[in-house]
Amino acid sequence: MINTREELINALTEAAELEHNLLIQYLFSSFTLKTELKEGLTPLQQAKNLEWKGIILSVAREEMGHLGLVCNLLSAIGSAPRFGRPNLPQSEKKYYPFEAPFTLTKFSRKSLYRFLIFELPIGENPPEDSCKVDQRELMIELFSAPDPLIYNKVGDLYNQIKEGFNKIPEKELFIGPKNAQDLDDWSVRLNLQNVNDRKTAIKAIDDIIIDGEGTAADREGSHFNSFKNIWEELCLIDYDPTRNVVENPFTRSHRDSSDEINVNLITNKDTLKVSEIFNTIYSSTLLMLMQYYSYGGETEAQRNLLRSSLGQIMSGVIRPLGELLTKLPISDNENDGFAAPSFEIYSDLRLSPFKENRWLILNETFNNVINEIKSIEHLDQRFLEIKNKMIWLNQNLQPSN
Amino acid sequence: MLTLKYQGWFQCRLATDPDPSDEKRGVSGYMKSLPGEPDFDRIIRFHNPVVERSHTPKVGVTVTKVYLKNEYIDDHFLLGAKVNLENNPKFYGFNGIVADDGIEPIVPFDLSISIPNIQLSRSLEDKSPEFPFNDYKPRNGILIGGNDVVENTGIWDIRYTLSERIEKLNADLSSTTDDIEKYNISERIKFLKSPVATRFFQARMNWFLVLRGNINSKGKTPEIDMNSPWVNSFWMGGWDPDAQNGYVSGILQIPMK
Repeated sequence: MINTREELINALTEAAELEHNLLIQYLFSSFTLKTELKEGLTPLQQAKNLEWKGIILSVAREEMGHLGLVCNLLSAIGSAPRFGRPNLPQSEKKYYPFEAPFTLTKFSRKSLYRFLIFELPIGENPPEDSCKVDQRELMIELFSAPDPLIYNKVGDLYNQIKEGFNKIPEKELFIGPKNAQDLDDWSVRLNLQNVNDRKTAIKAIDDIIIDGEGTAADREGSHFNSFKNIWEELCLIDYDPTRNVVENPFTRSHRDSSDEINVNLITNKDTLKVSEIFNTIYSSTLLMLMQYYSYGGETEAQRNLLRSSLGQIMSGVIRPLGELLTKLPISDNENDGFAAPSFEIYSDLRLSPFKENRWLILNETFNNVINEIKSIEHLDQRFLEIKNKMIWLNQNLQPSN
Repeated sequence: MLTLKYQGWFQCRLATDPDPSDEKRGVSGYMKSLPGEPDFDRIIRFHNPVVERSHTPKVGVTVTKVYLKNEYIDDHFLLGAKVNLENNPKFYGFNGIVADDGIEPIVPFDLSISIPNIQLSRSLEDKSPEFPFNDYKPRNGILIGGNDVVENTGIWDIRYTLSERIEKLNADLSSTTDDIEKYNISERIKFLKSPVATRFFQARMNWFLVLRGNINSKGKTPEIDMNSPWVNSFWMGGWDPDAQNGYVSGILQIPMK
């Protein structure tokens, strides 16, 4: 039951972490799809894989929008944005009370089933599977007796948050500055809305629920339905659509990860370096998001620069680097499988309270990353473009620009 | 002053936002390379397109008018000459890091005019282009509307043009037995019915470039002043994403001796 500001802040903080953790699982899975003819696909199989990839990426993008909206909700009630999260994997019903683990797994029916369980509409039973493979295993793993959990679906959590917004007196609750919120002027539509009263808060939450579950009358276009459709289509194919990517390919062990789920440590030196570069850029992106959402003294021009750079880095650097990792071996023996982006956070994300230092730290980190990329440039021609993009981004990201 | 007017359709096969600029097939953006087509490469081609989708305008940019001083020369030997951008020029957007969609510089910018046995070419500058490529960027952002695009392409009603294309594709669909062709035609019809098929047709980007690089000439070229810059003013627009083509229309002014 949420009936105080503190409880509402806690629940929204959890919602932000949840959206973040969902979207990285979706991104990881989408990057593991084969996309090239030389990987043994026919032209039509390639087109099908690209279509699936596009659908999952589009769900991940909506989760990014949800994360932004949750930050707006936090801001509206006077709190701070939340971009931190525990490292994965996290086993089921522990850190998060879901009936499925949070873990980085390649695209498969099993992964898709996990995703659709995350987005399962409240009150609806999991879909029955007419496909003959793996079903028994799935059911045993995901449907053990439910615990008395606070929530076990994404929609569940948001419904409780909605109740909180309805219960707490409106005049007391909305103490955040009206102009400290993110509006929808990113390069892709994220459906961000300004939240400044109960009505706009409820509308924002309803939109998040509808994106995930759809409505009882219409599930079309919802995350649940998108995953369910792919899951069903996967039953009909007679080829392996996925690269041989291992589960949780990590650069190191983390104290905040669950030790009940298998983690594969990367031992190939080049792959390790690429993965560390990826994680550093990812963490810097989170810091840029914190800087952007913190309204901590940046000018409007600097906030615009941060916003445009964030879009550029996500599409232009993080995605290609993530895709490249799925082609790099985890060890010196290619038969051991390939890596993929692990989205590791090496230490707590902290934004400097001093504006000048935020920019300095960002530029310094990017300079280091550029030097690191130079040392692995020979691995694939895409690294050259990534390096150039990082150099140019770093030149753009001067506080005076 | 020798003034050459040039026009025609060009091809550019490129992934669009939010795909990475080096995405080869098109995943999240509206541009897709269909099964059987080569990967995207972002190269702006004034000639020799790598794919020719059915029922789309033919690629080719040529000199359509020649003026000497202010006089129209209807039998000038450069009439019909090929105009080309050499050395694999690309729209340098790089996901907005260099420039946002529609205001991207063309890099490199090496222009040539040729007929059999004769070629004149010149680069924007002799040194290698450098970030932020400002000299290569279009001026004044994207311009929408006006009569330039419709008058020059002869397409006064893009929706009608595309509906005719859909009819032809439907006819092709009913007669083909090839699975890939069926898929490609179906995808194209679906795309052509979406708003994005016509969204950018009336938009154009304007360049005003002063070419100062070394002049290269082969064969018996006109008696031009080898020391003065060339002024090249052109627009690109009429974007037809199904065809992966756009239209270019420009004026190149070459000082004479």
